[in-house]
This record gives sequence, C-alpha cells and structure tokens, in this order.
Amino acid sequence: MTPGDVGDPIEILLVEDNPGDVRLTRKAFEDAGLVNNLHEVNDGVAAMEYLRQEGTYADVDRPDMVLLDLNLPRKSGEEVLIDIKSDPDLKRIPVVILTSSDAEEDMIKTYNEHANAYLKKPVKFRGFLDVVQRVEGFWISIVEFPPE
Amino acid sequence: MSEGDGRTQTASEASRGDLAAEQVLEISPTPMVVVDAAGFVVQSNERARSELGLQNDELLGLSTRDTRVTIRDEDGNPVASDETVTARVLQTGERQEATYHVDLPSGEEWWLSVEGAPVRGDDGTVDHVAISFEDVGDRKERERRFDAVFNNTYQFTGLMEPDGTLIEANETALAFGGLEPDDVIGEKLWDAYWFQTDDETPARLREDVARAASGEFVRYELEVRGAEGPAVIDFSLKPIRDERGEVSLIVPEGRNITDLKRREEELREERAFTESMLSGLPDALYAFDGSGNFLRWNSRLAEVTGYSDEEIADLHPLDFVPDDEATKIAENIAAVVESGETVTVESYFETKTGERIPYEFTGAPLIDQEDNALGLVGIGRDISDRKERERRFAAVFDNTYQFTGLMEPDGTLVEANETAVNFAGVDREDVVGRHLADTTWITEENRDRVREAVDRCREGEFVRFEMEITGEDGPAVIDFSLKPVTDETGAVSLLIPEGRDITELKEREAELAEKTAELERTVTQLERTNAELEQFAYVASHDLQEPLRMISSYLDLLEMEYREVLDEEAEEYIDFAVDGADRMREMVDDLLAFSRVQTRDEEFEPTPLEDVVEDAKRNLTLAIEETDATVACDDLPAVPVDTHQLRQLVQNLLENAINYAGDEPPRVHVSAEEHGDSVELVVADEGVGIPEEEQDRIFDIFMRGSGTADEGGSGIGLAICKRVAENHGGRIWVDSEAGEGTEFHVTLSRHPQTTGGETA
Repeated sequence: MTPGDVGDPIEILLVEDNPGDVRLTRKAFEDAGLVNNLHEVNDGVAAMEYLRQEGTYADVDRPDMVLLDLNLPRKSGEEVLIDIKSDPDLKRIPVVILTSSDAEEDMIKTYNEHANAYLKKPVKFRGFLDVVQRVEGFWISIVEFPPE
Repeated sequence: MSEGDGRTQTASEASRGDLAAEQVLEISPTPMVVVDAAGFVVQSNERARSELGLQNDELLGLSTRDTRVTIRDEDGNPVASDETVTARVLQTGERQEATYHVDLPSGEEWWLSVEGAPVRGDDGTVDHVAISFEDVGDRKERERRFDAVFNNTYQFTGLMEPDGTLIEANETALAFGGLEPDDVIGEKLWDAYWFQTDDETPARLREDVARAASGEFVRYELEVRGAEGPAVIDFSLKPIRDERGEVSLIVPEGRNITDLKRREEELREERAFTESMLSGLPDALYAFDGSGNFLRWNSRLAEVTGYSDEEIADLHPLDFVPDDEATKIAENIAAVVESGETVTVESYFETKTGERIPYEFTGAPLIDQEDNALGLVGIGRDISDRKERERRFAAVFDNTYQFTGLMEPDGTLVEANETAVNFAGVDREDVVGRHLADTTWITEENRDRVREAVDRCREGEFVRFEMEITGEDGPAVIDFSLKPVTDETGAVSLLIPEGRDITELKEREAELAEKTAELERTVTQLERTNAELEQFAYVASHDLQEPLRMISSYLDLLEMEYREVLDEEAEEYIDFAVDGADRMREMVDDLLAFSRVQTRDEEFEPTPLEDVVEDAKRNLTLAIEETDATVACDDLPAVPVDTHQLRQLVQNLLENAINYAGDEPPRVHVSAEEHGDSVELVVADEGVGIPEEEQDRIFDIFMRGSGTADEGGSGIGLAICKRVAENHGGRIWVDSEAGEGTEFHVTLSRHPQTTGGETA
C-alpha cells in the first residue's frame, strides 16, 4: 500500500495550539488540493495520547505523519519529539517540525532528536501554502513510508 | 760530823793542822764535799748540806758512780762515770771543772758548777777529791730566758767587741741571712754577709762601729741583704760600758721595717692616686662641716662655679644654689647632717656669673672614726645633657598624638604619656603602678587579651592588634602594639605599649565598606535588571514573531481571497497595515539579533580582518551592485575575534556607509592602525555625515539617523556594533562632519579578556 493513493488518504496529525495557525494550515492543505485527513490536537500531552490511541483517541487511526509545533502547552514539542523517537511503535513516523522560531540551537536540537524535517512557518499565507505543497510533495507523494 | 766515824777519827789523827782545815771547810761559804777514790762522799760542809738540802748521813754514801744519780752536761748529754770531774781529777791529779745538771734518786735536781781539786795522801798519791760546787740554777734560768728572747725576737741582734768582731748573732739575724753561726761569729761586722749590699756600706759601717766604740749611739735606716731578698732595717749600734765606763761591748740591732716602708710607700701612692682621681673627675666633690664651712673640694667645683679656691673657702653651701632652690637644698643638707641619710637631689649650681646649670647632688654624712657627724661630703654631677634629653623626650612623649608609655616586663605601667592620660581623663597616679590590663583604658572583655599580649611580649614577641578602649569622652578604636625592649644581654627589660586612635579610620573604613556593599548591591541589581532586560528582549522579539506572523498571514489571505470585493481605498488600508507589520517584523528581527550578541562564549580565533571584510561584502553584494558602491580595503592584520560577531559589525558599518552615501555612489575605505595591544579598524565614507548633536546618541538602540534615504533600518545596527566592540575588549566611536563623510573607529584588543568597554 502506498500512501497518497486515491481513496486511501494519508492520516496527518497537526500538533498546534495556535488556532490561527491551525486555520492557515487547513486552508493551505485545502487550497493545495490535498485530500488528506488532517487531525489536530492542541497540546503535547494530547499529541502523545492521540499517537498512542489512548483515552478519547482510542479509535483514531495512527497518523502517517506528524506536523509538530515546538511551542506547546503542557508538554513541549521537543518533549513530544523525544517521546515519539524513543517509542519503538512510533519512532518510524516522520515528524516535521513547524515553528516560528529560527533560532539555530532549536534547529540543531530537534535534528539531534531525529526530527525528519524542520520548517519555519512563513510569514505570509502565500509562503505557507508553498511549504505545505512542498511537504506534500516530498513526504507524502515521494517518500515511501515503511510498512506498518 | 759524828764522833763515831772511824775515818774522821783517822783523819783527825793526822794533825792539828788538818783539824783547822776541817773547821775552815766546815764554815767555808763555798759548798764543798770530799769524795774518795771510789767516788763516795766522805765529808761535806755545812754550806754544802744546806745548799743541797740534805742531812749529812744522806750525803755520805752518795757516790758519783751511783747509777741512780743522773749527771748531764750543759748540752743535756749524760756524763759517763769515768768522765766526771772526780774521775778526771783522780786520773790526772789536776783540778777539773764542769757544769752539770744533776738528778738525785730523791727526785731533786740542780744545775751545779763543779770544781774538783786533788787531795793527796801521805804517799803523795791522789786518794781524795775536794769538790766545791755552786748552785747555778738561777743563772742557767736567766741564760735560758735570755736565749729565748735573744733568739726569738723578730729583731736582728747580736753582740760584738768594740773592734767590730761579732761574738753573737741571734737566730733571727742568722735565719734572715740563711747563715750558720760560724759564718759570722769571729768576723768583723762590716764583713758579714748582711752588709754586702754595695761598695759603700761596709766602709760606712766600719766608721759607725768606731763611733759606737767611742761611746756614741748610732742609728739609721739601712738596706741589708737577706737570703730571700733585701730588707730595710732600722739599724742601731749601742755601746755597752763596763763598770769602769769604758765601752766593752757593742750591741748591733736591726728591726726589719721593709713592710712598714712599703705600706708607707703604698699609702703615699694611694693618696696621690686618690688626689689625682678626684681632681680628674668630671664631678664636683666637696665636704663641709655642720656650719657650712668648706673643708675640702676638688678643682672641678671651682671650674664649674667660677669661684676661686679662696672664695669657696669663705662661701656657704647655699651660696652655690639659686635662691628658689635654697630651701629645698637646706632641707636636704639638714637631712644628711642631722639624720645621717644619704640624699640625692636634682637642682642647679648657680655660678658666680649667675648661670644656672642643672646638677644632681648626692650628699652623705661626713663622720669621724667614732661615728660622730662632722658635716657632709657630697658629689655634684652635671645633668644638663640628661635634662635636655628628658625635656626633648617629654616633648615628644607627651605631645605625640599616639598613646604611649613604659611598662615593666611583668606588665606594670611605669609611665604613660599625657595623650593617653588625658584621653582617659584620669591622673597619672591612677594608672601608673597597675598592670596595663587593669587600667581604666582597657575594657572588661579585653583584659585577658591584654594580659596574654603582655605575656607574649615578655618573651620577646612584638604584639599588635586592634581593640576598643574606654576614654573620658567615649570609646575609641586603637591600633594597639606592645614592643619588647631588650638590654645588652638580650633580656627583655621594658615593654612599650602604644596605641594609635584609628576610630575615624575605622569609621571611614566602615562607611567605605557600606558604600562598597551598596555599590555591589546596585551592580548586582543592575546586572540582574540587565539580564532580565536581555531575556525580555529575546523573549519579546521571539514571541512577537508569532502574532506578527498572524497579522501578516491573514492580511495576505484577506488580500488574496477578497480582492474583488474590496474597493481601492480598502486595499490601500490593507497595504498600510501590511507595511506596518513588515516594519515591526524587521524591528523584532533586529532586536532578536541584538539580544543574541552574547558576551564571548568561545575562544576567539586569530582571524585576518580582510577575510571578515570580504565576508561582509559578499553578504552585501546586492546592495553594492544596486548603488554602484566602491568598497576598498587595505592590508589588515589578523586579530583574535568572534568571526560571526565581527562580520556583523563590519557589515553594519558598510551598510550604514552605503545607506547614508547621499547622491553620489557610495565610496567606502576600510583600513587599520596597529597600537601595540590593540588594532584600530577604520571604516570611512564620503557620505552625508552625522550632525554633531546626534553623534553621542547614534550607538543607542533604536536610534535612527536623520539623513536616511527612506527606510534605513531599525536603528539597531550601531548598538550591535557597540556591543561587539565591547565584547572584543575595545570600543567604537565616530568621527564625522556633516556633508563631508563619516569615519567609524573600532578598537579590538589583541588579548581580549574582559568584556567591558566604553563608547566615545
């Protein structure tokens, strides 16, 4: 099974606390014409519950990719990244860091923690749209995900 | 004599002449006995019996041969029976005599001078001996006594003929010369050993003997020769006249007066010595009687006072002291003369010319051998120097602002200066004589400490510490010290306590410490504030990005999605909003950059500055091309720098030069000057320049130049430059003239250690 095939939508988990960014991301995905299932949680703890299909997320499908903001309440994006990458069941899930921070040390730190990509949130919507299209193009259409 | 005696009968038959002879014998005043050939006494006279104290029958029957009778000669030797006078008369038929000491069996003893005469029988042979004797016991005793005196006197004495022939010399004289009697007896006096001292003495002696022989008593002192050395004798020759008045003997005598002479000589020398010593003394010496009449004085007294000896003789002791001292001196003289005390007093001599000279007088009672007070003997010592020293010492001692004193090694205070005494507000007597630890200055809690310090100082240690002491007007803090003073043997003989009032010093110290602490608090406060501000700047710039992004993104979305429904005016509004958001974003970016220019966090690498300039130029390629700018760069040295920070600095300065170039294409020149420990980098342009009134504010954050073409920047570039310069142990300043151009100067330390710096 290849992700991205029609009729077999990619499950994407967006971990983002800022409603403005959630909206922009959704809009960008829609405008790019991507037919993915974009799920959202608003903090790090909820992200881990979702990924581990715990509690209210017991019935969700496990995501094929995580778009992770670093600046999160309750549990930071960095901690979420570490949890994912140290969990044998989750570590193969590609994690794309989406953040407004352009601090070098943040970038280095997250790559060290095995982030699969690091993307700075563009300032304008047009840029945002561009990023989403690239992510789709690379991670969803091109990259073959390891079999579950 | 008994009639019944047969022998007497026989004799009496001899003749009538014999009878007469017998009677003569009987009444003879000379004691006589007749002894027969066998040695038996056959007859004795009355005188003999009474002399010997024996009855006739006791006498008769005694024999010279009787072993119970001991006979000794004058030298004490026993006389054998065949050696007696009787035996010798019988043997020789001639008269014999001797002096015997006779011990009888009865225990009686005599000294007898015995004379034996032969008595011949009818046939002419000697058949009896007539012995006359004399009791010489008294004479022998006199002789013995004379001998005892003669030989045992310590005087030299002897006896000689008028012609000078020595017939006796006593043991003392012989022993002195180491002589035997034979060496001198029979010789002329002047030839005797004793007088062989020089050529003249014997000749002189010969004349003197002649004078003595003529009856003159001769006496003089004479040096004689002895076995142990010479001696001086009181020599005399005394003529002895016989009954006819003629000189028959001369007694030479000598009394050894050598010791006497020596003593006399010594006394003379001693006296001379004492005299010269007294006159040589620097001290004035004098003695006066109870009435104040001067008895003796040395030359010094005259020299010092200026009076002549004649004048002194007429002066009274009180004439030598000033009037104001007279009472005191009179009292002291009285104490000496009347109470027998020895007194020392400090006063003055008043000289003849009226000058006062400080003197210390010591007077002792002048007493005779029976301890009667005669007056006063005194000595006066010039103490001008001492007084002067004392005066100077006192001047220093009492006027120094330090507390000081003198102590016995056991801690007893013997002196305290006025400063110390006045500080305590006590009298000297209140502290002198006490242990320092027990004096009024020392506070209760310091007493043990002071006592311990004294103990240590006594062992030779210099002790010093600060302590609080008590004074009349309140406490003071002193820098206290105890110093040991050693005598010539190295033993600690005195301790010197000193104290310096450091109250004000301590107060200033305390004030200073308080100010320092306050300053430190302020610095800490500032540092914290600064750190908070930096943190705030970072967090603010970082966190502002997100809402800004929201504004920009949604304005963008609004423009994209609703272009058709918005009129021209609405689009303009949106443009302004976008523009504002953009500017704000730029500022936030700069602020973030500024806050990230940290103080050095890694070792600076020596880097050629040209490389840094090249990097900066590369980053500005677009701007340089657009403005047709020229950026010239000299050969620049290598300096240890944080390349990232320094590139930012150079880039900002170049950007500045390009932005403020004015109408002409920008022309920039980068050069460097080396100054030993630092390198001065200069970025010069020919642009619009910076008005003087703005020059001191351009390095402040968000300060924007007025000559900027349109939107020159956020106004944070130069603030970043300043920070970078400071991080490199240097500073940055501007040298500019409006319309002429601008030079930015940046110093960079070759040994960047600190992060401080200044901005001109």
